[in-house]
Amino acid sequence: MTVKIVTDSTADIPSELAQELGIEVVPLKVRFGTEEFLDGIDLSSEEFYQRLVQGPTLPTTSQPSVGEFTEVYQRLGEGSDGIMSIHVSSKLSGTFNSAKQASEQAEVGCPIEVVDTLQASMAVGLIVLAVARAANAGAGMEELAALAEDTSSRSEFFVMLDTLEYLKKGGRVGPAMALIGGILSIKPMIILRDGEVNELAKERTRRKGVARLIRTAHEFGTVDDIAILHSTTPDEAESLASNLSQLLPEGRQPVISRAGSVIGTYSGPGALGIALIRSATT
Amino acid sequence: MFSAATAALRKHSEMVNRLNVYPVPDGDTGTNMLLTLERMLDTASQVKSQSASEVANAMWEGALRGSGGNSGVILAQLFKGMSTSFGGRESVGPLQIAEALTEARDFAYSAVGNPVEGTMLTVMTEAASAARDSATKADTVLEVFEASCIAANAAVENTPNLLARLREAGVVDAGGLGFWLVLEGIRLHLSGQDAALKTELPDYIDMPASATDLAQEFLHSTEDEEYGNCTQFTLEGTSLSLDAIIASMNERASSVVVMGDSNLVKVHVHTETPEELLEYARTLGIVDQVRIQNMDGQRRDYAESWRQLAANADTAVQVPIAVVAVAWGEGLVRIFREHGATVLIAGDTMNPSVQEIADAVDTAPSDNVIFLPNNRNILPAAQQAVSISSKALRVVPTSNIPEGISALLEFVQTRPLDENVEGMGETLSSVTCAEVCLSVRSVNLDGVDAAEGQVIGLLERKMVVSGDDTTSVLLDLLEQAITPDSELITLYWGGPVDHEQAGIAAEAASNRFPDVDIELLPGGQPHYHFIISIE
Repeated sequence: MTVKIVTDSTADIPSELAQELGIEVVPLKVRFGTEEFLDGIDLSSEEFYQRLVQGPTLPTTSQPSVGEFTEVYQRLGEGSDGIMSIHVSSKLSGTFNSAKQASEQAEVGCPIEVVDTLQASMAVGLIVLAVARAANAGAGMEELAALAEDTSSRSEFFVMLDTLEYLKKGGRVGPAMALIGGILSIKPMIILRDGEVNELAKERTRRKGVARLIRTAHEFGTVDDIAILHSTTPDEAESLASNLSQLLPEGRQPVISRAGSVIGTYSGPGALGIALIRSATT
Repeated sequence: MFSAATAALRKHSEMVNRLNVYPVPDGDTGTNMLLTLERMLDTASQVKSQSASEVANAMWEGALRGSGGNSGVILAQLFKGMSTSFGGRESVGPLQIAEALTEARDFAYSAVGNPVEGTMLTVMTEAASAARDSATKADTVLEVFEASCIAANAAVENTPNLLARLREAGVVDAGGLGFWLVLEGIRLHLSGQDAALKTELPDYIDMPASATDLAQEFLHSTEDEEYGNCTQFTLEGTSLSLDAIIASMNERASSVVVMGDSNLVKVHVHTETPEELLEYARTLGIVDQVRIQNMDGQRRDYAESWRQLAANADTAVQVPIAVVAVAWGEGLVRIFREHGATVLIAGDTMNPSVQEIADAVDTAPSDNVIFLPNNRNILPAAQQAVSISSKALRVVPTSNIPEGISALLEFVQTRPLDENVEGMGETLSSVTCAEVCLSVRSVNLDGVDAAEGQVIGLLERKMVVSGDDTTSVLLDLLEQAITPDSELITLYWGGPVDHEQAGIAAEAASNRFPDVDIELLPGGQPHYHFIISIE
């Protein structure tokens, strides 16, 4: 493989899968008070969600520095034909900006293409997986850049949350998101549009929420790939995955992924979502 | 002529209210019809023209705007019929009257989503048919009204034979009776008699004579003054004197209605100091079945909602689509507001008119408005409001609060109007509504007996249980309402239930149905102990 693939930890790609495909994952950081952890490296998911729910303060997150990206680009650039660096929506995180600046100042002997997917979590993950597979099959930079742009434009990501609180406190509620009052218990459902968090629906029960996730997935017609994202409910993710496998070509299963500590900071516990790449319409 | 009709209806509208078959306190048929006529008269009186068709047009306009409730909207069709068949004429004869009644009947059938026989519609059919038969040989308009009155009267008497619900409750159809009263008032007027004095109820309606006389007084007095506490109670004793009770009540309270005999008297008054009044009443006999309802609160809510609506119109940021919802009860109103709806406080026993709905829609911060009536009786007026509103108005036919909340939660500001309306409509079947309240009359409905004053449980408006204890009625009701798919029960408490009682009932429910989540919220609705959403 001569083109290297870089993403960030918010893509929530399961680590074995990233390793298998040779994807370099640059971690964001999570802070509980003064304690800082590298997303997906220093802190297990179990421990993170326990702290999230029980801890006295909510965590904050920060993007990788320009220097950290520069270091990665310089390390990977050696002997490569190019670097595809594919990231979370620039409207939700400064990660893309760090990567972009690093790509401009890094002294690397190959081209670096930094992609703003306008997506988050496994929706970015699915784009990265598609590009990595093509790169492994020998595709060149131009082709990969076009593929990244194309799959980004066909990606969808929608999530049922247990509460909007974490998203709200983290300041990631988009302007088009309706206010949700605190009297009724509600499962807010969100969807990424134009790189921002939008409202998909509000449901009163989890079962209705899951039904809505499935219905929404079907509304997008045929799909190239699907991933299921959960924060604390692996069994629910499993059953949702088997339910949606019929949308994929026979023999393929949706990727199941657990939200890392950065995405988890905003989704909170009990989040269940679907990322998918719509089939190209011909 | 139509002021005579209004007078006839006014005289007996309390009776019409009382005939509502549902054993829940939404007896407002007479009031709805009366308000429709009063608004109609108001508008018509401003027309200077003597032309029959112009006056009829104005009447239709006024009636439509003033109409509330099913019965009001249906009655308004009478004036639509007139305005159609009087088209261009300066004066009218028997044939035009027959034609107007026929047109009105046809409009009424099409105005009602699901026409049911044994109701006001049947009475209109019979009245129109008799009018047509007589019109060919009649010399005067009076003759046509005489024929249609006789037919309408017979049709009203026959309604229990057509509609099982009426038969079970032992009443005739309230709207049908109201329609007959309108015709009767006109007939009396045309024959030179004073409808306000001479209109008598048919003898198949049994009612202490004093009540009907007093109902008129009651309605007159409430027109100007609807403040204080609506206080009702029964008085038991020996050799009670109705006249003396009326006189003593009049000294102490307003809007006095007293009915009964020397052993049992029912009293209805408005007073600022209900406790003092009851104290006095206890010196006259045994006081029982006390019901006190704060009308200041109702009126204040109502006035407040209009002030807020008006404030909205001036200051609210325009949004792509606004939702206007009818709601009542502090807690319920808050829930609707929290989820972005503009609230028109009405409902339950106070149905908004077509004009009021159109006004509320006008104040909403968008040119695209979705309206949630949240009450079956408000739906017809809402549908009529579509035709007079200057905005793109859509009605999602929510027939109760749980459906309204479901529909509102489905609303997404960024989705196109019609997609929203479709999606909101689809949610209605996903939620079941149940209610716990008091029976206002002794009835046997759907095989369930309930004595007046007993607690009853309604499932989708059908009475399924009755009893003396609120909690056990609630549990029995839930037993019937819950299915294996039920996940969440939301109990909105209100009426006579306080927070502690509601908590006890909710805990009992949660022990009995451990697999279902129970959410207890203050609804603040009048009358209903619980409004229950099961989903």
